[in-house]
Amino acid sequence: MIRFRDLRIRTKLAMTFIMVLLPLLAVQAIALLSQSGLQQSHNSSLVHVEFYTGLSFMVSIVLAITLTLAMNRFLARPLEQITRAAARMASGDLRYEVNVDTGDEIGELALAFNLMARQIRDKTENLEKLIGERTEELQVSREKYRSLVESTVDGIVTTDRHGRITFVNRGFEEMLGLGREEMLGNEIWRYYEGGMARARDIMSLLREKGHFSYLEMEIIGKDRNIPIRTSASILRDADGNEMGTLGHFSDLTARKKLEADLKAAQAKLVQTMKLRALGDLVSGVAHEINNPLMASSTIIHLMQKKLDNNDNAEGRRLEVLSRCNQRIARIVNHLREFSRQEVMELKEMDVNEPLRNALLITGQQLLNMQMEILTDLSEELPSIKGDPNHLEQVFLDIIGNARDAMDGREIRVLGIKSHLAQLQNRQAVVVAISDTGPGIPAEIRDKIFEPFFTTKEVGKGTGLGLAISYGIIEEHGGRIEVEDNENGGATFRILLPTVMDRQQAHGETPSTCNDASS
Amino acid sequence: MQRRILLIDDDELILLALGELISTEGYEVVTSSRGRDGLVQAQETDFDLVITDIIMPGMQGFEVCRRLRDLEHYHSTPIIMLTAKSGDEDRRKGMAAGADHFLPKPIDPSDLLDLIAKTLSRESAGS
Repeated sequence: MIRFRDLRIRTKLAMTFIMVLLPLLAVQAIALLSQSGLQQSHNSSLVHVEFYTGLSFMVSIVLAITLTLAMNRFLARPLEQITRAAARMASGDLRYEVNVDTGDEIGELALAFNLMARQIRDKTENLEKLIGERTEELQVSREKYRSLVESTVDGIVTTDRHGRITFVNRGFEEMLGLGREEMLGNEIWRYYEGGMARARDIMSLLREKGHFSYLEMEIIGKDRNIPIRTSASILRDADGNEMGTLGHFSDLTARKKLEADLKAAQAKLVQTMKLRALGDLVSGVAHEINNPLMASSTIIHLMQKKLDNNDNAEGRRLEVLSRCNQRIARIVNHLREFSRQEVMELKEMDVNEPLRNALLITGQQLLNMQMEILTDLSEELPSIKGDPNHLEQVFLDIIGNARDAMDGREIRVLGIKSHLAQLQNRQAVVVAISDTGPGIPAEIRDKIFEPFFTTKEVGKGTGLGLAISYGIIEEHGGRIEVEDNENGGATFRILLPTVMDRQQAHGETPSTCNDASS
Repeated sequence: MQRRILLIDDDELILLALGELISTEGYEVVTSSRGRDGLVQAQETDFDLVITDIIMPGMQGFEVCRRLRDLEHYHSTPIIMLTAKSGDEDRRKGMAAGADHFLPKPIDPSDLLDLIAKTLSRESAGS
């Protein structure tokens, strides 16, 4: 069965037209028939005419209403729906679908409309998805670069064309110890050691090639100058116009320190090797000198003994020869000690013991020279592991130096002190020997422990005393420090590790006082 | 009776000087510049005291000392060693070889003479 709503719109219009036209034709026909009948029976016909005219009018009204309803139902409403859908689409609601199921051209229009809406929707959704994806990618990438720039320990800085800072990363903030808010807008050269002139050099380098790498210089931080290595390039916009600069700064503090440490270690190694080579040489020389010296001394001894009276010309000459030999012997002895062929015998001991012995040996001589001796030896010192004879030699040497330094001076006070000191992570027994001499000029302080360095008059010192002492203390795992006193004079401080610390360090690195750098 | 002393050292100057020194004191001194020669001389003459250097080319002082102790006459003859080193190592080795005394070079002439006198008087007192 074909329903009305299944019919196509042209058919619908045709049917509507017929539905309206047929009653009208019928009414017209009736009216014509009525008029011919009127001539036959005039009286009764008048009544008929009125009747048919009324009927025709009524039918027309009914038809008009029907037509209007039909038009409304089949044309206006679906169109209105499509219009509404278009409006909703325009306002962004692409999910709305026109619900027209008329099966006619309007229905097709609605279907086409829905299809279009769906396609737009699909496209839009794809687009949105794509934008979403791209946005996310962009964010990931931005975050990546941001974290790259922010988390690198190196400093990254951009400036505008006038050299004013437009961006600094955290690395640069931390390097300088300044916050970015303090730096932004400032000229970059304010942070260059060498200031404007340095900035000009850098810019001329940049303009020449557009970039440069690995320039070493210093920048000015909050508390200190920082050695850095910098690379930079000119930033340009899409048209190639200069926008500013991009600078990259690597902190070289650690490297510089390492280099310095390495240099010091190398110097020390060279020094050690030099000393060892020197020791070998000296030992050989001393050995070779020893025999002829001994022979010569023996003969002089014999000749002096044979002379009845030494106070004649021959006696005086022999005395000079004898003194020559004594001096040579002293030098040879020192050389032998310096090359130290003897092995030290370390045992648990009280450091005050060799200190007291040294004072006993020199005390009278010092008092004869009107020197005041102030001793302050701690009686509660822990034991050290040492060679008493060698330590006594060290103390004797330093006391002898103090004596020589104070000779002829107005105030002559020798201070001898022993106490326990807490170093960074271990204890040390300290012996401090101070004098009221002229002190040690800063420029030679590094040299006093070098072999053959002496400030004494020719013949008074071999320049080996402190070098020997230094070696002895080093073999004890300790160190010697020297500094000038506030009121003049010098203090030698000998630091020796305690037995306990040596034992604790056993199995690891040997315990020394040297790792606790001053 | 004149005491006889054998002096062994590879350095001619030492032999000359110490020989002079010791003989001035009235001892009879025989010198030898080689350890092996010294041993031969020791067998030819009965010395009352032997003074030997340690480091010498050829036979060293320790060996000279050991071989002397193997000889009947030198079982208890005093032997003095002259050492260039003052280390305990030499002292130990010398003791093991049978030496009585050690004198580190350079030797003070009086010290040597004192030691010689002391050793020989003890020797004569003991014998």
